[in-house]
Amino acid sequence: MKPFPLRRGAMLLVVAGLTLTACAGSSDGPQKPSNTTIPEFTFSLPTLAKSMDMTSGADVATAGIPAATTQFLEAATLSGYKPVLAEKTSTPDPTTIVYDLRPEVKFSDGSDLAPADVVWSFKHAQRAKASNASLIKSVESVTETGPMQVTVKLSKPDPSARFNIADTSVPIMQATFGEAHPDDLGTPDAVPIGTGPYVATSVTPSKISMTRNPHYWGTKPAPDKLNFVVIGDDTKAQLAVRSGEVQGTRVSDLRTFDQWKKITGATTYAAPQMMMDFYGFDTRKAPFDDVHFRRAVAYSIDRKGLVQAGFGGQASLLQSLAPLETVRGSAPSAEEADTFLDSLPQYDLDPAKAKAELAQSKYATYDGEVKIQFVAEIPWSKLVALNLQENLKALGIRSSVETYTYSDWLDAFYSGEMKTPTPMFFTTTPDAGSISYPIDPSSGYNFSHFASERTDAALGDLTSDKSWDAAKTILTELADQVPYVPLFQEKTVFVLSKGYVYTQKVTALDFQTGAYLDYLRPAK
Amino acid sequence: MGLVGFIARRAAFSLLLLLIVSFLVFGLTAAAPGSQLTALLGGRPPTPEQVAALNEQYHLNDPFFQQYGRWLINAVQLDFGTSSVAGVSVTQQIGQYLPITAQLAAMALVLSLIVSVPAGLFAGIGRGGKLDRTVSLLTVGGMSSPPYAVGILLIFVLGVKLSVLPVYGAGEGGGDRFVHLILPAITLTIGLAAIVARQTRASTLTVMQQDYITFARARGLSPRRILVVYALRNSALPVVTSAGLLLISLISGAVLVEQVFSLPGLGQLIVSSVQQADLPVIQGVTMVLALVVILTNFAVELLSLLIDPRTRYAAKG
Repeated sequence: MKPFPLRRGAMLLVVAGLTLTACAGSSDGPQKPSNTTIPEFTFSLPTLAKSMDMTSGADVATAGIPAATTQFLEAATLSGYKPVLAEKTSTPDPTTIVYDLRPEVKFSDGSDLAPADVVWSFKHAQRAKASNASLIKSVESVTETGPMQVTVKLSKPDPSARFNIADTSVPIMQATFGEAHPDDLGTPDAVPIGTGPYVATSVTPSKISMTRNPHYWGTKPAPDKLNFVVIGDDTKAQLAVRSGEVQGTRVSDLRTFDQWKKITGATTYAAPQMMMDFYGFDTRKAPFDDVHFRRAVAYSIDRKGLVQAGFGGQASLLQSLAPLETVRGSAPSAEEADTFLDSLPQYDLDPAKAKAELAQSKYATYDGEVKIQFVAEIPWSKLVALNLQENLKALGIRSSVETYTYSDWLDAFYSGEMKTPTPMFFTTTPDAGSISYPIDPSSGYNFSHFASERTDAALGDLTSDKSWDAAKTILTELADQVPYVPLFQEKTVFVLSKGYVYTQKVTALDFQTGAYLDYLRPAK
Repeated sequence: MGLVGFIARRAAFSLLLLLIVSFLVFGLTAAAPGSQLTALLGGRPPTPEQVAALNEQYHLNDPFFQQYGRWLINAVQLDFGTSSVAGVSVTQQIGQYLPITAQLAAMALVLSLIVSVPAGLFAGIGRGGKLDRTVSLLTVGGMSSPPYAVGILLIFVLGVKLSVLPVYGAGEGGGDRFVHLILPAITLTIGLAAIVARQTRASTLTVMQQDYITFARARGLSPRRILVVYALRNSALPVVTSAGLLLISLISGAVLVEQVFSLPGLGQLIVSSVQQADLPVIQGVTMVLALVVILTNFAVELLSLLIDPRTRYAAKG
């Protein structure tokens, strides 16, 4: 028998040591922020912004990049608005929004911000090819109504218009530069001139580098230099954070949350997104034209179990077909909103209730096959489909699972002819306006084709002073009739490596509007 | 004349092949699930004005052959249209991404050949010896190692734990670019070098059993002269052929490795364009890759003619 070579043994020990080190590690305690600057900060994302002009390919996942150079009139938050370029905003009537611009704001080339720039930016955001033009289609006109005042007139009352303007739909850019680049604005050769805290110095497919805007009007964020780099998935991003090459990132797959928590010194920041995930039925088609059948299906989804399996625990259950912030934003008070939500029927996994509902259905002995759809690119939808398929067996309902690609799903969505049950996912706004989307035939989102006298009557009141009553009526009717099964509200998770902290939780809205840079500090 | 005619025939065949590929690429992407209009619109319900503007800009309502004809005429002039996602020229995008893939492939090719040809040659000469057994063991290991796992392991050990090499990205150019490409090139090389080493070994084994090697030895020629002039040259033909295939494999392998190391090369561009259904980019990149493959095969055939006189005689008929 040959002796075990010492060098080979040492090599095995090194490999074993490295493996153990990889598996160990834990988050340190909370770090305290310091007020010093950060010489250079690198943030990784799965992709970079398609364009530095947010109106050309706006994407909530990458909007934080152009948001470092280009700002908005206001910044939307989960609970309201923060003034940015408009120091004051008023809504004298439901179809008018007046913005009083902040004086002495300069663009990064040193020129002054003027109302004409705001008017041009609105026109640019409303052009046919602008990606979010449909979100501000209620904007009828934008005019200068004072030396530093702009008035927006809406064609009809639209409670979501102010939010959409404050979100990513209307970034304010210098008109002169924009007019000089009608076809290539936003490309590396024509990065828009904005008022944000940074100026892009280099835009390549793999990296966008920025330095401070010398003319920035506000409080300077901590990083002197800012880089955005592409790292395709969470596994590699974790390695980059561990190596210290990347200091911040946004988690793209929430199922990896626990892995991020184990990185030594790294801190995770989770906050709700203005987004909801749900499943829907085409209520015109059998067997989903029967409310009891729909309820039986709703009681057959293990929502609580799927929060862990699909999101690593980083999602909350929807209590209604609207996120908590939307309901609270519509209600006179948070307490009233919470009391209302607690009164709504909840459809958690309950085989007994499912059987009871099925027994009352005209399809109690349904012998057809339910074809459950899921979208290949949306992992949670596959888990829901498989979970539902398994639980429907217990009810004696035959079912199969079918895959959509995302583009197929969009095709079906736009055609208004989706196979059901199918997953749905909407971004929403924290006001009563977005409550109407899933049932308003004119919204383009009512693919369930559900309608009732009560919801029809309430739709018109959503924009009036009876909006809270209307919201309650609609949400109650949706909870009772179940054209859609509310499922999850996902969280956004940001990670900072050792040595960096956020002074508060960062939401997806903070990322989209650039506020996430204001909260970043080096740790003491 | 026979040789020139042969080359002209091969060139014409390559062009025909490229035309067929162009039709397949355009036809298959047009037939792929999900309309281009949907991809252009993104996730928002469109306004009628948006739909009309996009249909007009991208000629989406034209008949298929009209669309293909227009695309082909432009493609011949290296104009593959505009990316439906980024809104910039596809040719410009390819120009941005191609250098990284080319640099990575070149680095991996050089690394593969430097390692695998001598290893295969010496293993073949010393058949059954320690070196041969070691090379055989390493080649089996190399061929069995999935690039994805090798890449992650290299990142973890050399990038994270030892901090000697960067873990992602392509660097800023020059020396920085070279350093950033070391780990991806090693990842690409491991599997492919193993194949070339085995190919070289097998070829050397055959050559070393030939009569001219025995005669060369009998004439008292030095082992070095026998190795370089007789063995290496005569075993070069299959190696050159496999090196051509190697280059093609390197380009296709780069798709995966670029993902692992977050390199902005053609592989990453094609993966992201497929994910985003960016048809003009898919078509443009596929055509460029097809062109590279066809040109590589053509070059390999020309090299074969140069290296081995027997192929020249065969070509002359």
